[in-house]
Amino acid sequence: MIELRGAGVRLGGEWVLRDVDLDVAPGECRGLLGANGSGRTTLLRLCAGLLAPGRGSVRIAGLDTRRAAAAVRGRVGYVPQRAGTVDGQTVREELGLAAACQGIAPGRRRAIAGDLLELVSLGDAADREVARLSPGQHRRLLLARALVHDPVVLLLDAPDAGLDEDACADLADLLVELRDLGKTLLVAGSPWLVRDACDGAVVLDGGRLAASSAPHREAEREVPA
Amino acid sequence: MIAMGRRRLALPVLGRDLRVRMRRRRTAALLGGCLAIAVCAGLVAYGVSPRSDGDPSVAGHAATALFRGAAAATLVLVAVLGTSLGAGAISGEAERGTLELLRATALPSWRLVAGKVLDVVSLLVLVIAAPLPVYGLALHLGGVEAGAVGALLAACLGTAVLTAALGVLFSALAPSTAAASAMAGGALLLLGGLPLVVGVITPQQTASSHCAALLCPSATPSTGALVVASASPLTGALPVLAGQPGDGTPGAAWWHVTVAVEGAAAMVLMGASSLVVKRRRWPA
Repeated sequence: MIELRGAGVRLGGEWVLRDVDLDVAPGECRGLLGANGSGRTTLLRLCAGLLAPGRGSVRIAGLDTRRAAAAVRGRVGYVPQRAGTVDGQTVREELGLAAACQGIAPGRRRAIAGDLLELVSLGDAADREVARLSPGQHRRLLLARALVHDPVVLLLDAPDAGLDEDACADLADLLVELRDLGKTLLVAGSPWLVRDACDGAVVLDGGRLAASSAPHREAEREVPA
Repeated sequence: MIAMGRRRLALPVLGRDLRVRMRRRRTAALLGGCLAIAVCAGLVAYGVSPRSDGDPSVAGHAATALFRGAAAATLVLVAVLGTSLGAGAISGEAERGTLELLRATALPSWRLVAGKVLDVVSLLVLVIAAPLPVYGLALHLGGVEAGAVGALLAACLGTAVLTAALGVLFSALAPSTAAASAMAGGALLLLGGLPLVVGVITPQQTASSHCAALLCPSATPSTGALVVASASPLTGALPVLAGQPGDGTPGAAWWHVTVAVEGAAAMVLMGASSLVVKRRRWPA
């Protein structure tokens, strides 16, 4: 579902991502670990079609991100690491805007927004201004926003930033639920979130893929009780 | 089929920006301020204009002075507001951290840019409409024809679209809103100020007047400088202010050429902005 072959990205004259080979199978939740500046955000933006690879290729759901970036964005839900708010915009309006940007018919937007707000436990905050949400609530709204067009691939950059322990556990459960629904996830989260929610993980170091762990969930399944 | 076509042409960012803008009190304050400036400019123009300029009556003289003063102030306001509001459109989204969210969707960049330009233009339409009571008074008093008011409104609208598109282009190109505002301000000075200066200092019977005669047969050498001055977004409506439709000055024919050129230039600028938004490597 996510397929990178020798992918590299050059920003400001420097290769911030080099020779990355990565395969994430459909329905798999893969963690992305690494220190600050290791290239995790760049890798996710590359997969989201927001950056074109300077070298190599990136295919999402069989589509080349360089040739079909718009189509890729229609199949991918992306939660950025840093996302701001527009003053005066309510939570429901924010989801309506995301749905409109994804080309969803006006008649379906309200129902989709309602379902997603329930899914991320923001039903009570539907008419609250986005700017007045807590950081944790805002992260959950961003996740709902990424799910608005029912994408096959979810790319999450620091989805647990600003969440307390309980909210992190809820998020991990939600990610497992999404994976069970058939979504493919690539999650650049904390080691705890990756441990609790992901099937395996890859580690980035200095823009290169440094290590790849076994899909531990699969391994657990194979161990006899 | 029709619903699908509508969805493809829909401008969701325009809807959001208009909704949010109309909730803010400063929009009402801005419109009130524009009306006040237009009225003041009209009154000042009336106060300083000579009384023996050929008008048959005091009322006609007052009407002409009011119209020209308010119209000139509105034109300058539209040009300045168009570039400055446009300059914050894309770079403002990037600075707020909301551009990444929009770019991560299937929304094509041209629809983002068109939404931003139309958002600015929609506010400028209100600025253009704010002095309508003044124009109405001028029409009522006589000395101003309805055609002149219509031509002025069209020229102001053309200027609004062009300056908004110009501001949005710099907003897409510049690293920050401050830089975009500075660049757009400089471009406005160049586009508006330079042709005006050239038009004023160019002697009669020179290239400018020949050019004017070629492009606008009804123009006379004495109006050549005015035609040169009109070749800019800022001063595009000057011929309208200087002459009434049908009286043989460039104002009779030039304003719709100006509006057409402004519209075409705005389309080119919007296309360029779309390409920049699409191709530029925006920071995360």
